[in-house]
Amino acid sequence: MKTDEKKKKRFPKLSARRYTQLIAAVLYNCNVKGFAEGKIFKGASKGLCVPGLNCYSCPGAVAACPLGSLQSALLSSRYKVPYYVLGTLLLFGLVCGRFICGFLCPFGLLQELIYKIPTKKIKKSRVTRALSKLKYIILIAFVIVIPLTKLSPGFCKYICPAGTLEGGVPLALANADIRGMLGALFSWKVFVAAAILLASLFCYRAFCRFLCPLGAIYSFFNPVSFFGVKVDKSKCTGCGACVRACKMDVKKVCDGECIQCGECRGVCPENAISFGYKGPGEAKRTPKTDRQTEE
Amino acid sequence: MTGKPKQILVCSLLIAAVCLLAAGLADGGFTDVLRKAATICFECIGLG
Repeated sequence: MKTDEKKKKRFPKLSARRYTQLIAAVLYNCNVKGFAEGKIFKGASKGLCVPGLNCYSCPGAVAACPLGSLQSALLSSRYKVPYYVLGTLLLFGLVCGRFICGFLCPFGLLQELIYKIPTKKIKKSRVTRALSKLKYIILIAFVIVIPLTKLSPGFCKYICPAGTLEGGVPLALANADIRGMLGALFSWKVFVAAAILLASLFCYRAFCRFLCPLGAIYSFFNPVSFFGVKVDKSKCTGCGACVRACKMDVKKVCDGECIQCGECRGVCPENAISFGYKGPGEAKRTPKTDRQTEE
Repeated sequence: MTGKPKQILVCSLLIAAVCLLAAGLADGGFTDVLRKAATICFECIGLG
């Protein structure tokens, strides 16, 4: 018995979600040769977008970043309407919503792993809930307005920590030419990325909750997405255990802040929460627990 | 939103997504994304 417990401590069992996150991160970045050579992949698969935030300038990336592609498409939208990228984002959002954030985003995985380091944690509150609106401002200002007016991909250029960690740092380490070109902007981006990673140590998924414009886009689709967490209205008593247990700033299961990770399934006393197809028109009842969950 | 209005909204969005994708593919959107993603993005990596 004791050896079993010791084994469990040394090798904690990974959840299906963790496996999915790891597999997604590896699949997105399976061009291992690129890391050694300091060059990026140029194959045809780069014309496709992955659903999660993953920089296409990462030497390992075999597909495009949806957010980078959107900004790039908006830069040239004076000449061409970005049908392809908009269609891709609409399809991803409609099929999965923020299930993508919970299961298919490598940067989300990184933040969750950092959060596992034992330190004092900041719990969700009115302040974090207010801060969670910031990502919509970033979406409008940096992803839409700056590319349309200043003709530069604002979010990629000034904020994106995935670009710095997956693209900038590995390329700078492996490629002397790129290393020689680093300047003030790179220093700024390293500072932003470091600040976000540090925040993730104390605050669960700080970037996803407060800053990520891709999460903001997918949040609009959460209530209508085909797959994800669903609540059985005939079983739900509205006790609010799910919302209290959730580390995101949700007001109810499957609202815009819910990343559909399914962690709430285990705490529901009525087993009313499950994963699956949430067919169009399927009625759902979610507990109204705004007041109950204030901490 | 539940019931029929939701069903109509979801179906409309799905049709819109497929139409946008088809229009984008016909318009060379795939090639545009490929062209951008196959070159190092200086803004993304912090070179400006």
